Amino acid sequence: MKRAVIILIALAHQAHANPADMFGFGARGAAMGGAQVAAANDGTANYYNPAILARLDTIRIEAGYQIASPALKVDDLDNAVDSSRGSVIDIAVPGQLAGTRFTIGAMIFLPDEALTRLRNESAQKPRWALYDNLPQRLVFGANAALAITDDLMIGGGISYMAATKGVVNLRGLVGFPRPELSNLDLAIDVDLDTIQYPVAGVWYHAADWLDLGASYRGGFYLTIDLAFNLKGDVGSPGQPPAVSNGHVDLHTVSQDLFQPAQWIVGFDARVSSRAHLAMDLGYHRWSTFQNPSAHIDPPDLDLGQFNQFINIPPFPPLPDPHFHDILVPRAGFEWLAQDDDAHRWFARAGAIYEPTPAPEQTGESNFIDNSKITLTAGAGYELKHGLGEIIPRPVSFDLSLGITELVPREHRKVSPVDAVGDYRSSGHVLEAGILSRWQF
Amino acid sequence: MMSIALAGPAHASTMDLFGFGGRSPALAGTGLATTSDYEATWLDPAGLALARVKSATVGFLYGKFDLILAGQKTDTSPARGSVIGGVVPMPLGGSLRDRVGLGFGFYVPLDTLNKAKAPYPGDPSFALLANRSQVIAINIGVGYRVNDRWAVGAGVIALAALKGTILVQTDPSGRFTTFSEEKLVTQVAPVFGVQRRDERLSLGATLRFPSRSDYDIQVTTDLGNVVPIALPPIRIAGNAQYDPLTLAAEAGWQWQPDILISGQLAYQRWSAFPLPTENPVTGTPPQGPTGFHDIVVPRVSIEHTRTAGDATLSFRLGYAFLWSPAPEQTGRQSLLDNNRQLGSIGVGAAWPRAKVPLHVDAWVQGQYLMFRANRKDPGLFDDPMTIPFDEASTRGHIVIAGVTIGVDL
Repeated sequence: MKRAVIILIALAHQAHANPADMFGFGARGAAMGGAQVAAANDGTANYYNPAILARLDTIRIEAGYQIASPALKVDDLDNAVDSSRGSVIDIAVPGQLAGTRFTIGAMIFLPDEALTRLRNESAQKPRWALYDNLPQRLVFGANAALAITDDLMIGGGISYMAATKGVVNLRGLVGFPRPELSNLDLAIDVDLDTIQYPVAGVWYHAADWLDLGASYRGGFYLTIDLAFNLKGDVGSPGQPPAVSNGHVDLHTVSQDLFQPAQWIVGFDARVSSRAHLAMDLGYHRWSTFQNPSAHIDPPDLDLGQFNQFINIPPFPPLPDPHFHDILVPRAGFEWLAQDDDAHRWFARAGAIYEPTPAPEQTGESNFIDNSKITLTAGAGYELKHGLGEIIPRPVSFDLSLGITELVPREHRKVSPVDAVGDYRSSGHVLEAGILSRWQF
Repeated sequence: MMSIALAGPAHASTMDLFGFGGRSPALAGTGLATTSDYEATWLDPAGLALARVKSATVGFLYGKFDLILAGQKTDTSPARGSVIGGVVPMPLGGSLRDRVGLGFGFYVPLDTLNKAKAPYPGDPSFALLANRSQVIAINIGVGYRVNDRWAVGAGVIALAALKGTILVQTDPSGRFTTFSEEKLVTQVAPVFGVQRRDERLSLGATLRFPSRSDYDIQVTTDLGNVVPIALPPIRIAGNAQYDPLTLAAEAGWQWQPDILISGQLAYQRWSAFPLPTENPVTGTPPQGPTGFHDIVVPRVSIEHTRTAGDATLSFRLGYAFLWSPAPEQTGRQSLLDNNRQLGSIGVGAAWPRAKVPLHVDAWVQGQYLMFRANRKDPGLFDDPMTIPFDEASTRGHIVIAGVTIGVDL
């Protein structure tokens, strides 16, 4: 039975990581464990806390690349899951509005493979619930920030996603007994509906040595809601049909690509002239997570003389996944290792503890997730005078590395005849990122 | 004998249909040679090199379609979307000082980021108008000022394409289950432009490569234990949005210090227009070509600008004749389209030296669809029962309005 579980998971091609939500946005933030709600100091604030954009006094453009390579295991056998990789780009343009600092910005994480990927499967099929589709999506947002006072900034923006809804109609002849002789026409009416979610933040310079920050990132879930209607005859071309004016109507709905609403608070303390200590605490509302499995309504069909051979049992309701909300603490440290007339070197480190929102999978469902411990490190190099007279302002290059260890977990089934059986989940994820930061 | 789809396939973008921004739509889509703000990301990215201040703009447009097909009004969705744009003159030094500008422009429909809608092949529909406004568009560009007269630019227009697979099968208990995977991927089209500006004459040219949004989903079924009829592999594929390759040239003449007259010719390669839907199974006979042909679109406009106190006021008028690329639909295809006359009017007000330097632009555009009749040729059909209609006339009009508010930073 355990062997069956392993094969099922492997066939599902699961597990990835969302570098923005799970491993940080940009190499500096990633190297500091993502503890950036008060400590971000560049265009990556578009993601961490848009209020910080109002602090910037030069145009910022950042571009880089991030990769996360998971090795997730069930019963100690690697599931050979896909890696997640993509480009990080952001921009922040500061200005003045009625004498007040005002900044607009935008950010994007662009996965190599696709803007979004929605994948759903049957309810019982084991999957790494948090690593399945989350990392395979575009992260895109546009923000604006305003300095209320010299010490208080606010910011916010909107991010966009798309959900699929529609109907596909087919009409014509279904070849029987030779389906390859089918002659069908297609009509389609499918929309990618706009899903908008807000991002907002506030940043406060509390003391010479202390900055405080808070941000909110809206939640969303994407659905696939598709109907397939097939109408026509069944038989062979040129012959009297075996079924005249038959029809098969299918409707499937599934929820996938979920992002929980997140509230994050944090601080950035300058503990010495060369060192920053930043800590964030995030509340992630996973309790609204719905069962991502595909649900098919009982098909409405009329296949004439074949109706008597068709007996499709009703589809049972999808079980509630019973996820719960979690608190995610993050800590980051940055040390200015060297500072001379032309260069600056930084060393960075961070840590994250993310408890799993998923309960032990004791029933029919198999939404596998483990608590995670992440350790990060990185370095930064800044050319204080840029690249000569064309770009005289500072240019930086950052590197981040990280490892996420999934705390091993046992899943013991209540039913002794469970189709999947007991199993143990574990694994780790290796992360790396580079980012170039340009000021104009 | 006649079946009418009260909506049509979705093709091309809002920007190709109405123009982009707050000024250009009021000038019937001209402005290619004289724009230097975010609208240049669509019109001619070379103009971005001439931007002098950072600015950000937001706006909204609403369009109502009254399309009449065989005497019946279609249910074409209105255009409702937001416009977001910005331009940033890059503060570089040395040889690049005051020479480079970046810009971005987004059109985001309020309800739908993308729409794939097409009737059965042969069912009549407005091939190029219905639902064209239901697609997100992202334009990003950069301009470089070569010298005091010449500027060049490049950019990209991004649309989204949908690809995926769906497997329908049964579990051991006989219930239907699915495995589905959808991917939204980008389809990017480059844009190149050049501008030459003298004291009174501005010239510009733009080459815009085709931008398209396709969908391609493979559906396979394995229901052998439950349904005694096997279905063939089904491919749900086609084109949701399409803008043709466009080569546009424009001249803007400052006839008087306060009057700008512009004229534009745009060649559009509609002969490459793809089928809205492809055959879902291999056994379906070929649909045949669309038969579309290339067109040249003339546009003219006039803009009067005057000062009133601290404000600068602009009054705009424009006209364009939009040739239809669709031939009379005598065969199996029924991709209907009409010649259109476009008239536009708009105003702009700017307070560049105010404490909050605002720019407000508003416009209204009307497009009149000239009456057209499409008569099927029975000689082109093997089976007379498959002729979708004998004759279908099309006419109608479109009214669109928009407003944008920008601020210098």
